[in-house]
Amino acid sequence: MDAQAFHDSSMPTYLDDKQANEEGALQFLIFSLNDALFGVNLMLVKEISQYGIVTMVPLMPSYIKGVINLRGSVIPIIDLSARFNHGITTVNKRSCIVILDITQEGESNDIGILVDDVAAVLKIEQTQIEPAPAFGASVRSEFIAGISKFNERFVVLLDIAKTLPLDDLADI
Amino acid sequence: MSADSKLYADVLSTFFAEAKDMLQQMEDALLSLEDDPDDKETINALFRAIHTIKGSAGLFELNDVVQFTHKVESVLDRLRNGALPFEAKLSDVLLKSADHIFLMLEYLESKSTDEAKLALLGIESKALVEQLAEYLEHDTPIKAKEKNEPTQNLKPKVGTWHISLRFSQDAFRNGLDPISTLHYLLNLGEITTIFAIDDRLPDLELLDPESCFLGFEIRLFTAAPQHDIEAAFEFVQDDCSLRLFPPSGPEVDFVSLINELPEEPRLGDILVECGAVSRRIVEEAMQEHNNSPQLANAPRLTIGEILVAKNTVTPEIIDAALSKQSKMRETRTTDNSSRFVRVPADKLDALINLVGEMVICSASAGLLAQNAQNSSMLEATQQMSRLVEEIRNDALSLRMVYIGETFGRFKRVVRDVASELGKKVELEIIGAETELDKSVVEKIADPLMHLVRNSLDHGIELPDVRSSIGKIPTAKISLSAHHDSGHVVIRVIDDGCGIDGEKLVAKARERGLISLNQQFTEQEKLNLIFLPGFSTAEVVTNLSGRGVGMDVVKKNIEALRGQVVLKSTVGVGTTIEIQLPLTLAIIDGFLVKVGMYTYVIPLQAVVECVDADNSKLLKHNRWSGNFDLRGDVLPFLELQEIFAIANDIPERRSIVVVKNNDSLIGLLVDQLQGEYQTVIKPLGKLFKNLRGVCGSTVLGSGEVALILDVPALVRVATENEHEQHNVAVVDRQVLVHANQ
Amino acid sequence: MGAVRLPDDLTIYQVTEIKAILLKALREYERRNTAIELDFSNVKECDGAGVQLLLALSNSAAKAGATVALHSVPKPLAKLLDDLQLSSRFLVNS
Repeated sequence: MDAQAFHDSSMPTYLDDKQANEEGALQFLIFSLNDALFGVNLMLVKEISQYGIVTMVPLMPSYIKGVINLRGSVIPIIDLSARFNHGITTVNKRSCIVILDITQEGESNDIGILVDDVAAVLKIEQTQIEPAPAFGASVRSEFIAGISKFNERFVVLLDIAKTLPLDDLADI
Repeated sequence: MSADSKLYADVLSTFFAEAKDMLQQMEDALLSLEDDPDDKETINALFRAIHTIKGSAGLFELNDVVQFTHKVESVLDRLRNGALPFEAKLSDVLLKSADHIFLMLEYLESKSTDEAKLALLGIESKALVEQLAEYLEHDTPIKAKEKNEPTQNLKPKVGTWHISLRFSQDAFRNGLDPISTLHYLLNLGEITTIFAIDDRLPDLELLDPESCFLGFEIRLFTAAPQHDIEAAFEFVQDDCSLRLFPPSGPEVDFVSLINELPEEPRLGDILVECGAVSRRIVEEAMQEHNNSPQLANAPRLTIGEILVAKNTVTPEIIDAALSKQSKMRETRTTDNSSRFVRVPADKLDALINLVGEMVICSASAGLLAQNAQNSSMLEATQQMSRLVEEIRNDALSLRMVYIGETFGRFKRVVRDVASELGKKVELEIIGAETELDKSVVEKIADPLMHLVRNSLDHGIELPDVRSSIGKIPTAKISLSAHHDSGHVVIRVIDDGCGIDGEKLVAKARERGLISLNQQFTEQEKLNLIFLPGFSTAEVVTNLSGRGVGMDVVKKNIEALRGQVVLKSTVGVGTTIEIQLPLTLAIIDGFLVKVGMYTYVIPLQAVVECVDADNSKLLKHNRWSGNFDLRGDVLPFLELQEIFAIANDIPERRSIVVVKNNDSLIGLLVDQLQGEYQTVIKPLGKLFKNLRGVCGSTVLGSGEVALILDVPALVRVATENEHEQHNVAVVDRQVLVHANQ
Repeated sequence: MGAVRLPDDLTIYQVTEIKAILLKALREYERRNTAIELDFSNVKECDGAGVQLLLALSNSAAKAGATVALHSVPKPLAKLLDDLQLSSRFLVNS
């Protein structure tokens, strides 16, 4: 990944063709993490679950928090803050797990991300989305699909496929 | 409409699955015929398989398949009739035809529009049809009489049977050919007289040529027992009415036949003419029939009833033919096919998941009942949990399949490859009844195929080479499977030339895979074969030179969290042992607690549990140490350290002694929680490189517990120790054990 | 008019087409009183449906007072007709 990514005019991976063409706007789930706001495409969000017992999986990088039981399925939980090198998340009362359905190579995988708080669901016009800055952002620029605003605050819209590439994570 | 098309798609996919099964049965039958070419039962099975495929393909209008299978069926029909001897070349053509049908089905199933592929299939079809035609055209049927003469000496009961046959209008459309049936009869004896009954046959102009209006009255002079004669009609019984009259049966039996077929006025004459019955009997019966008073409310008496009334014949005799038919039907329903139900695998998965949920729910209900101290409710929940357990066990066993089916496929490979290479090989299968999960069975087939091919290609010597070194010319390859310590162990054993470790070292050096002065133990030399880029084939044959090396085999097996070990003695043979987890199988686990986490150790691996008296624990490094087990040295691993669990070490800990390959190793844990039967939940893609854990399970509390993979855990610890080896002098005990 | 040449496959897969051919031959007979002559030199296969069709032709021809002559009948087919004791219904020339 390099700076090419945002000069590239090709469509960012979070865009869903149909949704974009018909409405010109996308819906995002906005959540907070370490006092910053992030957004993920609502299409990817399967459900939001309370933080419960997470079973630690040994010999894995620190951003893999562990696994939970979601109605009989065992689902990995990613500590997004640790993934961004912002340190391990301290779990608080409002902490929750956003379950995402990531489809890669036709295979659907559920994966949970640990966030501090879920703030809102936001409809954002495409014209309101700025490209990611080449530098100066709080997270690695290749994780960013775009920047927008919510309540006068910046929202980092995440490119989930790049933030959580299952293969890369597994190979560490 | 969409429901219809979904139904159609469902039925079609069932057809494909069943047809492929049939092809497998066909292949099995052909291979077993190669050993025993006269086995009538197997020839029938062969015919049945192809006949069923043709029939069902016809229903779906898969015309290419129908046309081709029709040719195959015609050849098999001649085989069944004894017009063709079963010989190796024919077997080859038939095996190739089965393969070809498989490819056609694959093509159709994939809904591919690949023109090139289709054209290729067409060419192959043509080529095979030509080969099959050889067996159809040169028409030198073995004379029925000649064939039967020797058996006549054995079975002196010879006589003329009368067979009365009427085919249903759908017979042709259902893929039946009355001619085949007649040919089969010819094989049983001599047809002295045959009358084609065409009374029902319309004028040409009005005839629907695809409907069958034929019937036959046949006099068969034979020594064959009734069973064999009935067998001729096994395939047609649903589409014809059959009456069989034994040689010495009473003439009056025929009366009911005449009676049943009033639309055939000539029948009586025919029966008289072919000598089945005397004219007097027919006339008497007919007269009685016509004279019987036709009262308004009384149904006209049938000839049969008249004869019964006259005490000429008992109802039993009249019903004889009918019961014969129903008996044939019965034998059909006890056929294997009707005892199985085909269920899509994902439906089973969904069921097992739900049952898993139910187990957890029932556990928490039990807990609530206990807390509420409601004894009758407690009793109810206990009963429920017992039932749920049973359901779960049954559900889990549904996914388990015998490995024998997979092993059986290698008969063909061994046969084909051996003959291609000019080698003689016998395949031995041991432990075919070993059960493992369907998903594992599916994934192990390819690596096994490669190993077997390797053995055939590189391991097994040519027959004369074998003779010259005092081995029997026919080599043996064994495929064996058994359960061991929560794993399935599969072995591929050959008694070929073995693998020379020195040669492997030389080759690896030549390829630059290892450095010149690197030293190896014997086992390490053999393990070089698993290095990427290593291939022992000196001459690239079209068998093993196909580009996959042992490294790929190893990778595939490890992807299943399995292990592969190669043992070989030069001149004696090679054994490749594959150890596989049962994956989704039921595992009886042993629960232990380390810190706040619960882990599951496969129960089969557990030998005993002992108190970990601190004075008997001798740590060598952070992860491992030795324990004094009744005077013996037991290496142990400290899970808390390996898993980096922050924890205050409790005063009393325990050691679980587990089997690891052939040695014992201890696992130091905080608490023992007893046995627990677990459903393994795969951990998913993210954890595919995780070692030391082979899955997870959900406990009654809803918490996820990890299942330990003991051999992998030992490897992890050993490698860690390797890394530290240069820094500190470490006791090699664990290493030694782990390498055994 | 010469013999009517039949296609190679006298089986269930072709009987509908062949029926049309045979019917035409029968009509031809009724119109011009020419013999019904069938050329089997191309015929490679014949099954029960094929036999039934020939039988129907023979019956209908008999009603019209005609005989059906089969020419160049391949050996297996001739044998089949013999086996079924149907040869007498036709004039079989091999």
